[in-house]
Amino acid sequence: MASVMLPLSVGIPLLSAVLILLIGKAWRNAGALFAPITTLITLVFAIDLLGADAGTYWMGGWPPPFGIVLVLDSVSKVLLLVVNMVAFLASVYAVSYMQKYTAQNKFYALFILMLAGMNGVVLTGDLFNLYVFLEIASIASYALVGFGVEHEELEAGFKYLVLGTIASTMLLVGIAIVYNLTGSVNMADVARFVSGMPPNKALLFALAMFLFGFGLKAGLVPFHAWLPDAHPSAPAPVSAMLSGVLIKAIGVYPLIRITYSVFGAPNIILNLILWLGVISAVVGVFLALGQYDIKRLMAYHSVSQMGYVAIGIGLGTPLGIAAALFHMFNHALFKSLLFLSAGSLESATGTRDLRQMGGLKKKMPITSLATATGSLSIAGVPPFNGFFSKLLIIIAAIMAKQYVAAGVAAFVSLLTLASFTKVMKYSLLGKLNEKYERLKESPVLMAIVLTILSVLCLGVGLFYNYFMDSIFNPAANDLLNQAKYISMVIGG
Amino acid sequence: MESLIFQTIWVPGLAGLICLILVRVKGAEGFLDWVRKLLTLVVSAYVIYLGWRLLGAEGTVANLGTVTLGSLSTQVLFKVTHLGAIMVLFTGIFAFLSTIFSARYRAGAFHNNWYYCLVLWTIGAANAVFLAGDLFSLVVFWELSTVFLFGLIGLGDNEKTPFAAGKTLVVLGLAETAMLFAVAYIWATQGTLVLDELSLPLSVGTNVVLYLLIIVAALAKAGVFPLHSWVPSAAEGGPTSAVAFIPASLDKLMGIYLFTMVSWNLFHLSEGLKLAMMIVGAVSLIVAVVMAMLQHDLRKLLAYHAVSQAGYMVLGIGTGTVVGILGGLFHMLNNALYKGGLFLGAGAIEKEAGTTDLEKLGGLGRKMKGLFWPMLIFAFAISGVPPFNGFASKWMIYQGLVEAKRPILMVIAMFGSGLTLASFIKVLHSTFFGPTPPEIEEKVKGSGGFAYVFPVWVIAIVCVITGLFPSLVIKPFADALGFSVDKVSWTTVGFGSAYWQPLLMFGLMLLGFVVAWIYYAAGKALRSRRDEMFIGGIKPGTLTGYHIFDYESTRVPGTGFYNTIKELPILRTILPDAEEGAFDPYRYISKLGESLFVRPLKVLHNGILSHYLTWAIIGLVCIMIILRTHLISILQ
Repeated sequence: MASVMLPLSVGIPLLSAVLILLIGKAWRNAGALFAPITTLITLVFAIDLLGADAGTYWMGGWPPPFGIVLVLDSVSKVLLLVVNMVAFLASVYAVSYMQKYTAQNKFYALFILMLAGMNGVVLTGDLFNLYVFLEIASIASYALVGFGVEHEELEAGFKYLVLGTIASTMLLVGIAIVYNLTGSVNMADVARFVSGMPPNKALLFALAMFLFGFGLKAGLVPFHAWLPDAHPSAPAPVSAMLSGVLIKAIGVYPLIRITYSVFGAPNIILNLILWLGVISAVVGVFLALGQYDIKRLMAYHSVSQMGYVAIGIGLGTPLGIAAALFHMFNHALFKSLLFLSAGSLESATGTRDLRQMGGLKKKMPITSLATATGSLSIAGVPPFNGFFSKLLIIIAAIMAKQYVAAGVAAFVSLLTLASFTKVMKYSLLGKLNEKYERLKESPVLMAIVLTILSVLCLGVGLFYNYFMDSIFNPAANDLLNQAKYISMVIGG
Repeated sequence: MESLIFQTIWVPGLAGLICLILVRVKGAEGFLDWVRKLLTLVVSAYVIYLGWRLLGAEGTVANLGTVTLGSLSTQVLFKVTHLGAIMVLFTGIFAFLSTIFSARYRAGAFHNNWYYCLVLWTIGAANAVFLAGDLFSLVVFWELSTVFLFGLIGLGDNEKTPFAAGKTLVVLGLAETAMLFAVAYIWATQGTLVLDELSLPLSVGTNVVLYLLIIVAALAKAGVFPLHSWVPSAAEGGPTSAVAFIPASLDKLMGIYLFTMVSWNLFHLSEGLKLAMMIVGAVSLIVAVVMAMLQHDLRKLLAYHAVSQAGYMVLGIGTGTVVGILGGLFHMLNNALYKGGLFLGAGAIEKEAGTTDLEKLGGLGRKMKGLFWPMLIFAFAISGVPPFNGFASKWMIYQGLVEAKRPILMVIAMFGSGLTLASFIKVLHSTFFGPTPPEIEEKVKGSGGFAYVFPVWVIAIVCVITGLFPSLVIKPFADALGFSVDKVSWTTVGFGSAYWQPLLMFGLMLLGFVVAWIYYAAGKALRSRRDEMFIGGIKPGTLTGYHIFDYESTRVPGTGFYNTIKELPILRTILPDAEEGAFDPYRYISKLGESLFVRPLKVLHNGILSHYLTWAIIGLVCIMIILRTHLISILQ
């Protein structure tokens, strides 16, 4: 039995979301107080759980496969840490950033609800439960995308809603088929059945459904089209959450979990993921190159970077998976940093068009430094974190003899550099536009969050070896060891 | 000794951090700026000392530990080679001189804490590259130096700055990605990156590709065609003090160092690749010098010459002969000297006259005497006029080409040298000779004082000394590479059957000049009469309302000197907009990529929900088809 922190990681945010709405009726600042506290608590849990033994928590004391079970293993530890860390920083940032919005408490409630959903997805050991939490997170995110209720935001939210719901439905169909075949929705139990099953059409159909559903949530090409509309439309802290962690927690993570832990990583699926990754990496970065809207550009890069992660996962080697998880972690850091600094630039200049910015390094030194750090990290420049994870993915691909994927990864990293060079040169360098003469640096809270994330980007890069050894390599080994997962959950 | 190696890296690194922390404070900015300058000067001087000490410590290895990346690991170590130590020494020297210059050039500029920090960090990164004993640290510090360069160019303050910084980072980034990929491949297949443990015979096909991928990074850094285009842009957009230090001097050292090391230590060039490299060098030197002749902006013109000179180095080193390689390295050093000096001079002109547009300059020889003579020496040196150092190294490169039996390439190289001279006639005419435009007349008060004059004079003197006594430089380089040069002595430079005695030649030239001067003075030439301009007895101005002629109509600016090049049969078609960057692959590739990939993809993203849904469904169908064929193949 693992610690009670597992259910609390889901329960506390759920409760807090309700409380914010209730108290918020009377007290306008309820959310600004409760949200950071809630996320801080879950972050402390996540950090504490890093050192905990892997284990399961039986909801209501019902043993699996009959009851609902929460599973903590080295993979969910990674995700739990990433999700709650970014959520905490984004919620602190939001305290300053969201002041210009009305209905703040609804924002915080949705934000915390989305966090609850993600924590649930990451921890659950049950397919149906996964679907439920995934829907909680998704629906909260649909609402958050349209939160600004302007024309553009509503349109983006609607597109996201339609595509996302179709994906969810497909997932439900997939889960139903699996349930029909195996008579269970407990992942470990399903895995036990499936491993003894000869290849059959129904199972592959279900896999196709999962690939589609999670691929869409993860923003892989050709299921990505909602993402560049949705991610930029949300307020900056939410963009950071969506691009930084949501696509991983409800897209990539379940995909990894189901492919490796449940279905035992069949080669054909791995290959499909690999090539989806290659296509996403290339298409995403080309689309980003043509953008001048700073947030949209970053959103396209999310597609491209998820491609990297998919390449690593698709390689199926311990090094590839560790590299993918590491890159996922890094992407959460630098992409949230980038979206938050883009938010600072936007709220200071009032525009998202790069061509109208310029020379901001003189007026906003901290934000500029943060933008540069994020840009160099995502572009894979040493000694920042992105360099090491990209290099690892390239090396893993070469060692797996996937030379095309390795070449593409290197090529895309160049184009990423080109694209973020554009961001830096248009926003930070050059002559200051006269209308920005009176510009000021962002408020303290926002600046602090940007600084923390920048330091993390650099620190993780400098001490990448420690992180690889203590977090990502064990996670990769656990993922490849399906039998261990099964025995841990259902004891045999 | 080990600690000395690490000091070449961490001392500048730490000093840079201190400079960075000394942010702009109102009231104390002047004082803080002095602290930063002084710190940079002291550290540069210390690096010179370290380089000197390391010269005697060849073979010392400093191990930093092991780098592990997944299942791969490699030692990270720094090893002193003779060549590397020479490079460290010169890094310190160039840093020292350019810092003296920037003391005035950057006075009062914004973000000076970043400026000095990045300069110092660049020194550290360059030292690490020169001493790297494994490819991992080499690649990491190499990329760092590029990022620092991006930052430094970004500190420029004109409308071209953002474009220049961006282009630099992208072009160099392209080359570095290629190198990184090659290094990753070497690591994955060989299991180590320690230079001494690698063996990569070029008889294996993949190794040729690896060689080319690494060489791309070296050539891009040195600014060789076709990866040169960032150099002219950087020269236009960046602060000239940084341009003089990095793209003009340090990046040449780094690029050519890597080129030499990779070509002759790591891989051993085959005949075919040698020829390929020589051709790259020859093309580079000709194309760039033609472009240089057409430039209007002094800094851009000099930058094109930097590209052209890099062509000589590659040409010499590519010959694979002792004299050629030594000549190439000698030329690298010479170019770093005079090109650095020329840029410093250009920077001084930029600050004092307010422009580097050749059209607007003129007559500065009278106003900036302290700058004129060194600039004259640099111009002669770069054009390969004896007895300056540029001649000595070019002579060796020619000899190398003769030995390698490539007479055609030698002719091309000589032709390029002639064009260089032609181009510098234009520079000298436009900036230092002729009448002074009125606005310059008022503005320029002198050479700008010690900070501007001292560095260029030092460099000019070194140019003369190394020209008169080439053995001073040739011997250390020969020692570094293990070549025996028994025919090189104080008075004579001899390779094979070729000899060259600089002192004798200088003496004869001097004699010739003296004779000519006596002849000149004996005639009436020195007693000439000076008067104001007049035509038909009328002086400039207006006469009864008619505009007679004025300063502008009588002036001959040098910018039009070689416009006929644009009319030549083949070039006429290639150079319709030469100044806009013909020969610039960066421009073509970005345009091509835009129209081939970016725009079509953008058209597809039209924001229509049903289209988006359609692709997703098509994707799903494809997945299902693949899975089904897979299933059928299994069941069979």
